[in-house]
Amino acid sequence: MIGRCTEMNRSKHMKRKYTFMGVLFLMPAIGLYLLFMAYPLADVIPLSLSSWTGFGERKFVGLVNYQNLLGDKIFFRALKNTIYFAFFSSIISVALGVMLAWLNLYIRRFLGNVCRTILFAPNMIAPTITGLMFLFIFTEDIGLLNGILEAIGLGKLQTAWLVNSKTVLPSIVAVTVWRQFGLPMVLCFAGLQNIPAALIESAYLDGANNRQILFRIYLPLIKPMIELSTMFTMLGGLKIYDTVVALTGGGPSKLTVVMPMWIVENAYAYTSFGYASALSVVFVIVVFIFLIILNRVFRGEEYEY
Amino acid sequence: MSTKSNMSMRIAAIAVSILFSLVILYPIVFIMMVSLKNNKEFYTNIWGFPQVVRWNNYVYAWYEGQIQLYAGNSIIVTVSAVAISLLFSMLAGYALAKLHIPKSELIVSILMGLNFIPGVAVYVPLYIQLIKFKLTKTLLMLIIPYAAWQLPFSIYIFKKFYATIPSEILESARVDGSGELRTFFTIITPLVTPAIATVIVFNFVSIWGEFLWANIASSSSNKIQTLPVGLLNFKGEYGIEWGPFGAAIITIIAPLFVVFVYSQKYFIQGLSAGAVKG
Repeated sequence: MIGRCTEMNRSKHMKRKYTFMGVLFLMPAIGLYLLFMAYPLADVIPLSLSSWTGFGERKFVGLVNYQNLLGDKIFFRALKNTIYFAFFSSIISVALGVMLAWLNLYIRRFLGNVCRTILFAPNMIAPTITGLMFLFIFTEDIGLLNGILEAIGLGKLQTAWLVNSKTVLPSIVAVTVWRQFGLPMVLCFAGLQNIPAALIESAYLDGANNRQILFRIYLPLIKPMIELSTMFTMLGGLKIYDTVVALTGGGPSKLTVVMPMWIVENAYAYTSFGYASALSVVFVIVVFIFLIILNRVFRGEEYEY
Repeated sequence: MSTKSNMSMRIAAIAVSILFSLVILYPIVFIMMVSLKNNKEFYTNIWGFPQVVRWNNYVYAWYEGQIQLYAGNSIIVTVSAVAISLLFSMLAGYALAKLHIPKSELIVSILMGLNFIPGVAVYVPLYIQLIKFKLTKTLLMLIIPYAAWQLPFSIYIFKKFYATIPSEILESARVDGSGELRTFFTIITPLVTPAIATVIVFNFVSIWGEFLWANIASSSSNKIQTLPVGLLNFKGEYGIEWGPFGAAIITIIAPLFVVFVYSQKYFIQGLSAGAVKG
């Protein structure tokens, strides 16, 4: 009895000792993160309630910055564009990714590996660089796209892709999709590969065709992968900035402005740090609204095999 | 799977996959060819192979275009930030998985939640803070925040991997009198090399290509411009010189492709870790 008691005390003591070690191990990471992310983040809300140009005292102005948002046309355009990019770039990327992952199942392994590697490769290229690369393609006089249209006899579709207000937003979506649709593809392919072959074979034996197998078996079973892909591409779309800077710089005449761009411009070009912080707060809220919607859309039955 | 419909399915699959692969490859090949032409040839012979191969464009981009400086900065920043975030997240992941930290699940959830917040939201207060710390105008202005921002995801990965190591291994090392730090580095960590590779590759790619903060930070001094920032300026200064511009782009993406061929597996492992329950 006594022996067991001391044994328990001892293990409790040891556990406490390890907890102490654990805190020591944890401290560098938590300290760094608090100092350079959490602390500045905590400062955003007070900043958004003040007027400050970077010099002198901050002046508390209450909700004035938020009121000013309502009259700021460029803010609404930036918000609209950001949502547009998040929505279209994620939906198109995921649709293409799922399709190519599915098609990959019908290809010999070697060719499939080669194609997957190629299609995933642009994910490694920074968005700034892909933006600059596509300048070669969209440029009006010598661009690749206009050249191809000319060559295949569709010359009348030629346009200044990045200047024409009808084509500039879809062009930016296209560049983003080009860069990122390989990601949903590899994630979904990994999901598809985990599905037992016996399940598919028995479906074939029951007379199911390819399309039924895709919609009734494959897609429901890789739902978590589709959700994850949508989340990655959607967050990428919400944060789109580099690509736009490289392709259009926000132009023509602020038509392609996005939230991060308007935040940065207000902070560093106009030194309205308070207003930029109010924009940031709204941006964070928008991101979380998107995450909540995504969570709702994908909620529902979970399928297992 | 030998029915007629599956045969046509297979042909369609091959055709579509190859078509998309070409859509990905062609722009890259096109820019490679541009990078070997001069402006005159670029305008007269856009499609074809360069008639005279001008490696000179690369030399020009490297020295005159200052790619040399930007590449140096990018390498220093990326290697240091990856090293710091790797070490710190390993220690933290281990502590959260094995060292009886109370509420460890909650800590990880909070970190992952904060991770959804777009970086741009904190740039203003962060910049002010870095002025206070007198870190502006140095590469530390990039290294430290980059290392910090990579932490939540890296800790998440490491916690997951360390949790799979049986506690018996730990116990027996402790009974043998091995100190906690030594156990950690010599016994436990060699067991999680896939996690290390995943974290390195993932963080390398995100830091190497980061533009927004690098651009803001380098407004304090153009000596700390990294490749993505420098290349955008390159466009401004030499926008009409398509050859060297193409050469600069190829210089930046070429090393990535080499890394990529070896690391693709780990990159995908890291991304899909979020989907695996546990």
